[in-house]
Amino acid sequence: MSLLELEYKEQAPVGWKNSMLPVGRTREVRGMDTLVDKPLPEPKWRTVTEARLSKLIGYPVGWDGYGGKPPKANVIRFVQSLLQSTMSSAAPAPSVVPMSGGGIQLEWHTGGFDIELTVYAPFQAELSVEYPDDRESVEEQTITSDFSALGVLMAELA
Amino acid sequence: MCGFQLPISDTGEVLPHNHPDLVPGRRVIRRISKDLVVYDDNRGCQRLSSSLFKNDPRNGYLSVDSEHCITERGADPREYVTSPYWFGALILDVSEFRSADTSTSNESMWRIGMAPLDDNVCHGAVWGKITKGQSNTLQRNSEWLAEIHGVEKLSVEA
Repeated sequence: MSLLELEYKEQAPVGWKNSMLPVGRTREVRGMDTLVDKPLPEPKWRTVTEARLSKLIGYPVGWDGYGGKPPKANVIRFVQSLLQSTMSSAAPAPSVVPMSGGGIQLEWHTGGFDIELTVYAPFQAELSVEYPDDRESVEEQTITSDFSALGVLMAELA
Repeated sequence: MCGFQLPISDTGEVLPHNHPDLVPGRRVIRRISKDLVVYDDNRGCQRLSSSLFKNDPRNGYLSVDSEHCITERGADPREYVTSPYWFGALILDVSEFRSADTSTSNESMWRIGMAPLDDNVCHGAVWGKITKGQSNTLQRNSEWLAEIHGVEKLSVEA
């Protein structure tokens, strides 16, 4: 079972759960060796992505000008878990594009990379990559359990 | 077209079919929600997402509008697909779909038909798997019907 599978909880509420990032609190010394709890800053990508996902989950049927469904709650939860598991604090925020059937496409077009991850349902995704160098591009590689390739890409982008 | 009956399932859904009104020489329109615009840092511009024409059969069909159906009703296609507020629209010949379809079996070949909605009798559908590469080909070979200022689409020259 992959790390992501261990982290993903079907019934978890929408929100950032099971974080691998250093969220929570740290301690700093102030004055006469007084230890004070201080929240760690939220990674920028997470703030941006959270706002976007929160907006998308409230979309009505027909948001696309036809009969398109809004992103499914389990897809949003899965995307949150996936990003938590693969992105460091310094990684750039993706563009989050809703799909008419209730899925989500994540896109990064930066640093010479074109990376697209289409999530149709939890553990049903396709990864496409165009590299800034002479590495062979990847088109719609099906991913169902091991998302480590995305983690490697995010480390390169960070 | 007189005499053509839409194939309907027991549950009332239109089944995949090729409609005699949607043949090469006729055009279909794809509406564009603002959610399908992404920022491309590599090119320094906003552009249409590759998801615009993507489709996975697990999530249904790709929605379009039939230009022929709209004009037969005396309506202006541009006005029809952008009222009351849709962001933009692309238009392309049915033959572009046919030439982009690389299916080798009859079962997986795209079906291009009509699937009227309660509020849009000219709603059409493309059934079948449309990949990122095929989606980009369709975007390249389409024309703006309602251009979005400041947003680039893939072009044949690109």
